[in-house]
Amino acid sequence: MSPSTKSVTENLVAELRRGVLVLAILTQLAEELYGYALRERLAEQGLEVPEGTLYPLLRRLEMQGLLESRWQLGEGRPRRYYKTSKAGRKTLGELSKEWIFLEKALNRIRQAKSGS
Amino acid sequence: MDLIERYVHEVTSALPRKLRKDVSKELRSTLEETVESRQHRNPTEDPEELAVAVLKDFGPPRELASSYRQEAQYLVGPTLYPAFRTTIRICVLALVGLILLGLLTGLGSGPSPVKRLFQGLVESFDSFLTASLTLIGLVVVVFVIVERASGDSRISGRDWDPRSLPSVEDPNRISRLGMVIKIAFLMLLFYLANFESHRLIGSFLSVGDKSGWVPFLGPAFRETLGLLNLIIVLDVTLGIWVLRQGRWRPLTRWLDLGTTLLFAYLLFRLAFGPSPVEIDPEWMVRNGWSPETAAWYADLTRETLSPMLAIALKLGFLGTCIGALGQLKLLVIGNRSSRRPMQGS
Repeated sequence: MSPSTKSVTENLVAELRRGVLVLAILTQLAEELYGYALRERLAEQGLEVPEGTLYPLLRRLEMQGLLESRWQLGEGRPRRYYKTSKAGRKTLGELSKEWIFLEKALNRIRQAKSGS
Repeated sequence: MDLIERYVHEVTSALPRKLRKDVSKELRSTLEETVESRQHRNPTEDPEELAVAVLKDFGPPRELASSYRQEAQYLVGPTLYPAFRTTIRICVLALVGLILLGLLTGLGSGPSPVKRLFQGLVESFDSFLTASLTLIGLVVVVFVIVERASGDSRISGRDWDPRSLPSVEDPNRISRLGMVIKIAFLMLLFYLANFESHRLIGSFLSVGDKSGWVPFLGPAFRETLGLLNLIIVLDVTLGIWVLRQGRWRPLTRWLDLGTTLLFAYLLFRLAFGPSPVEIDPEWMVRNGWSPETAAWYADLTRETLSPMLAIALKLGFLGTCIGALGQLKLLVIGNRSSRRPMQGS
């Protein structure tokens, strides 16, 4: 793979992951968590999120009204805890439906291709 | 943890003021927690090395800061960028043209034109550099205003109806690029005519040991400045209005015709009245020229440049009148086509 193709592939993978990330965050934040703990939780389940991506994204989702947050002291340091808001849960429902639809469609395309 | 403090400061200083405190608190807490957690996993690792690794994972401060910002981080957006680029090119070319013209008009006077051309080039370089930077800055300001004022008339999402697309031959369709460039030039003309005309319209003159810039525009130009400003303001307002509407309508066509007729009147006054080009000999004497040189140059300008400019202004007047007739024709055709029922609807 040439360096330019490699970089194109890396960018596409990053884009694909970014798209899924909102779905993962809204799902995971059904339970109130602070940023670092959320990142650990996602990593434990196989979804490694780049450090520089998660925190700005949490802030944006909160500004869009999909997350709620509050400051709380934990282990001697202030932590910002996030939770999926009511609007966030509604969006999560829509995103989940879309995800299931896309997964099925993609599987059908792949199966049709492997069968031909 | 000095590294973390430096990093947090660097990130938050690139953020809007209202976000800084909150982001700084969260980022510091997260970074400290991440470093501590890695220390816990690798107790033998040097703490500074660990902090460096963590900060590298977070990425360069400016990159992280830009992920926090939601608003568009540009002055001139992608829609207006082609018009912006064209305007800059035209401006720089026009500036070079004006300066060369000023240099060449001063060559006919006195001995050794090559020496004077070289001297003029050296002296004009500084003013060219200043004028180009000012002009580029002005173009940016103008486009920032147009970007924010014109809005985006394109309808997005599901409200968009392909049947609303103007027909290719529709006389009322507008060229966004052309309209934006026109607005930009009108705004530049406003600035140049009011604040820079004495520095741009003139000639470089060298006689004996004395050399320098002599402005050309006289009282007749200043008397018409009010009318010129009115035309520019009307035309810019109309241009922005048409951009927002996305197409010409009968009212905007009539107003456009009105401003063209006003412009024709302005050209008529300048072409058939006192010449806008008039050198003030007293000004030249006050600025170190001898009275003989001042009188000679004022006469030379009156006898050569003024008649040439008058011809150019008369041609301009004629062209504007023909343009007004074309606009009238478009008004009639445009009205007919807007009354015609749309195909497929």
